[in-house]
Amino acid sequence: MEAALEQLFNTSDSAPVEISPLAVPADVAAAEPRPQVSARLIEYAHGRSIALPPHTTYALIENPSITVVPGAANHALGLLIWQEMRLPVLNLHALLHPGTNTAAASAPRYALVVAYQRAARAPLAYGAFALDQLPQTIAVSDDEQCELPDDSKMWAQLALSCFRHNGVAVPILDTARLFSTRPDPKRVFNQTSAE
Amino acid sequence: MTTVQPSTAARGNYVLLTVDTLHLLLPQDEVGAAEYLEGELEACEEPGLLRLRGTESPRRFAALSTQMTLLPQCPPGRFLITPLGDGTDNLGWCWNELKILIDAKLPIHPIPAVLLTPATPVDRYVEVEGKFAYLCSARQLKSFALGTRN
Repeated sequence: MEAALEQLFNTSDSAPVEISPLAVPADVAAAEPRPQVSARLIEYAHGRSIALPPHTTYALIENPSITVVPGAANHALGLLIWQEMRLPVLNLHALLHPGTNTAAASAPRYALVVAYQRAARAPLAYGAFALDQLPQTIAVSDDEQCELPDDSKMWAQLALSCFRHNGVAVPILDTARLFSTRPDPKRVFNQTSAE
Repeated sequence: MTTVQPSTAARGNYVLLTVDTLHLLLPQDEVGAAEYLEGELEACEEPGLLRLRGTESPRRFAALSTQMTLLPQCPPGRFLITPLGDGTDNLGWCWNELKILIDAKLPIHPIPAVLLTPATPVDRYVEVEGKFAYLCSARQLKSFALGTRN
């Protein structure tokens, strides 16, 4: 919970403009609205949302055609063709709340394509979330920051921060942490005829 | 914008096996001679396996779902049968389509690790003749499919 929300959501690469401070009475300063930044609000289950920095969201695909991967993880819906790439499609509800019944999300209305970097200066990589609701763009300020909810053990691993929206805690997820899972080293594909 | 480059290529003789929307690519030397299914299959006393209806033959058959699990009956259209591996298990696998690819060179793509578990039977795919096919060995296929039996 170290980073301020304004820093997490600010996507501008340009240097901030220096503005000379003016003498403002303390009571007026206290009433000034805090700076707000945009966030992509994503409802992954009824009454449950996460947020992403807008610059990580790339495309929304309606009625996505997803190729099933046999024996894949419960949170894995399969592979989606996007811009000549095959992207992993995740069911956020199944990932964040393992063991819950998520059968309704197996044929999602939308796939939201998001970007991430495996390391600093690494090229962008892409993945997708299955959604049944369109994402919303909302304004968030630092004074809405709050503690992570306690309804998933995954928040501590995946969330950068959290804010309160309409009375509900909304974790801000790190797309790199979501999609950069390393393969299990014990899994070795024993195919001698592959070069 | 970057695209994922294939890191390796599958070279040699392969068999493209199809059940419904699932395509599997196995090395040719792991797939036995194909034959037509002659008769109707029914469940038998061995969970997940099938036998020819009305016969006492010890031969058993298996029909895969698109999740590579065993189906309790053989769907229509699965009329091609092959053994897998050395064939000593006397088990015939039922397919919709089968195509032999001679001296193929197919770029291999890894399946993103976030989708996989230690039990996932496939971790790479190829695109062949406009189809998306998972690379698999007979051992992996049998181990996963037969391991899902109750």
